[in-house]
Amino acid sequence: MEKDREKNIPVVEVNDLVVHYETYDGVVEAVNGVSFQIKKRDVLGLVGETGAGKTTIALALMGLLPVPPSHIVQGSIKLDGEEIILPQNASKAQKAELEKKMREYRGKKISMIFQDPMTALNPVIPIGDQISEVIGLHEHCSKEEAEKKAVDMLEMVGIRPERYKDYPHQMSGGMKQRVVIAIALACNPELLIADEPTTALDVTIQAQVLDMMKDLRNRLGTAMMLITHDFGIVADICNKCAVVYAGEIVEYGTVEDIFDRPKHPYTIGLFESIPSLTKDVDRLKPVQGQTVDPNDLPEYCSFYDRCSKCMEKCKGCDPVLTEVAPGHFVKCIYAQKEE
Amino acid sequence: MARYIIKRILWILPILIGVITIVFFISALAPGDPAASLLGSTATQEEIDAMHHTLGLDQPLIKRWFDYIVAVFTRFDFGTSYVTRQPVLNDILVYFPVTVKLALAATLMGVVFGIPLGVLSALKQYTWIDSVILVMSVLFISLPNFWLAMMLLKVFAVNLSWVPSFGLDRPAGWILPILCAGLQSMTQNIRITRSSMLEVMRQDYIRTARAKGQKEGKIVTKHMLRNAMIPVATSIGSGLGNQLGGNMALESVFALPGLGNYIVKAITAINTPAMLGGILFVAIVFTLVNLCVDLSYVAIDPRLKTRVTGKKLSKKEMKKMLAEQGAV
Repeated sequence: MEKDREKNIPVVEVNDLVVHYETYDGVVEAVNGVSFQIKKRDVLGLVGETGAGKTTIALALMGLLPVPPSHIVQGSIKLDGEEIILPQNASKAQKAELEKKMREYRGKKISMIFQDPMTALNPVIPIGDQISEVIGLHEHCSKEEAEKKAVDMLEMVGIRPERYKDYPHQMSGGMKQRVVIAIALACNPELLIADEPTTALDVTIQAQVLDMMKDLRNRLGTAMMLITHDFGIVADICNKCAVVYAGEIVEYGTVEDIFDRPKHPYTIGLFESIPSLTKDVDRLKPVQGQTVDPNDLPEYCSFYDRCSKCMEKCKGCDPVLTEVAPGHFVKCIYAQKEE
Repeated sequence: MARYIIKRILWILPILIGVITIVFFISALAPGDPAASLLGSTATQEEIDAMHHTLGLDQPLIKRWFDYIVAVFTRFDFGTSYVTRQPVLNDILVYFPVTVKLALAATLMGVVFGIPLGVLSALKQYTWIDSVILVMSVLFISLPNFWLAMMLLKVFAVNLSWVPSFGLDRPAGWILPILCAGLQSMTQNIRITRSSMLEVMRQDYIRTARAKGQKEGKIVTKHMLRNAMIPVATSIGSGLGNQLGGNMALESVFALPGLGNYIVKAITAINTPAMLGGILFVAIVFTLVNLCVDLSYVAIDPRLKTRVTGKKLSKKEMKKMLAEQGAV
């Protein structure tokens, strides 16, 4: 296993993932051909507007997409080189076997910090028991040991052990989020998915949570996928960054690539909409228009209608994600031509 | 907690005064003279007047009302039955056990079958299992209780002679009444459990449990059930309360010597004290059952515990709590 690591097999490898939600109102094309990989020690930031499909990607990795309405149309996800997407015609036994395997992975190999701490915890179970539950499931230890470890986790996220028996409603939003984080980190996962882990927190606690995550990466080499709206957090903790628009990665590269040399008009637009401390700007420039309707994506570039750089040619075809510099990918005809 | 319970029990007093007042004046306004009905059609006016005097009916209405309240609250005296000449409370204590047995058995049946079927129906939503359970529960909830009782009697007692058609001397006599009341309680529980489970299944914390790698079965028993039970407890409680008040239709059809039957008989005989006492007794039982249901919420849902047992915090305690919430 360790040798594999040395050879740098990615912890997770996603290839051409397509996820649809089939609803009465039509098919929502939530994720459209997303590919990326995360290696050990990598922290990938997934940035994009609400509804861009970031959480859907995360749930697909966890194997937690609700079926129905969601439907993985095609693609492959490999956890540690092991495929977790079954072919369309998979038998019931294969499905059951995969589900059993995924149950062992979830919480242990791959775990997730959910977006909304207010609803992510069970209101009728003491928080300590909610942490020890995941430890008991994966560490094969006695109940006492699991409880002891849960107390350690509480301390790690800065909650006093006396509060072990408290219920979620007795805690503030920030404390609940820390409990959610403690659950996700309890079994030292190899891949941690954090879905806007700091959105509900105030700035001081945000910093602590990010420090905790950084520490985890430095100490254990945990690979992470961080979903956020906040470029500040991406700059702080990530080394790779993917900008997601309408279920597609429109730009992908190292944090330096994205921050210093953004190529895609959408990425540039996002940066222009952030207030700057150094430059004096009267008005911020928002990205014009509304996100495209995922019920009705165009044949051509999905950013066409909002793009400031759009050309006649853009309406002719849907561009593909192309490497414009080593490790820096852009899905835009304009940016590719510029090179 | 104790303070809360005492407070709730004391609340029974104003409720009883309200019940007494309403029932007392309605029965006074209702047509029919208890004295005439007791003495029969041959009685002379003198005899009726004398009877009025013995029963205290020659007193002004307001005084009778006031005396009754005083008697109930000071001597626990619910009046004397015109028919049996016994204190009403003694009569009731003879009839009540039958009602209690029927109510408990029916509620038990409703819980034991209703909740698992409701859970199953929710877990298998939109499958044939769900459809069968739903159709069955709609059917039983739509059938009037007394009609179902008569049909069961016709089939199982008259046609098949499997069970006696009335009387409780043999244990078999209990089967049809319990089945009839239990089916109704069961369907109620199925429907509420199902909708409550469907609500809980969609919650984020269920996804969290799955993300931990928990098994589906455990997710149902550990994470879903307790959350789903809160509305079910209300339904079970109010059902039990209703049944303890005497299932008048059922007790009449099966000729059971229960509280419901007692009150119905008292009404037809214009036996005002028996009726009043019976209804008062039902009110007390109902209030106590409600209290138990409310206490059961606290056991199910820890969020309510703070509300029920919550003391007012001193300023110092409040500060300490806030400091803990905010800072590390």
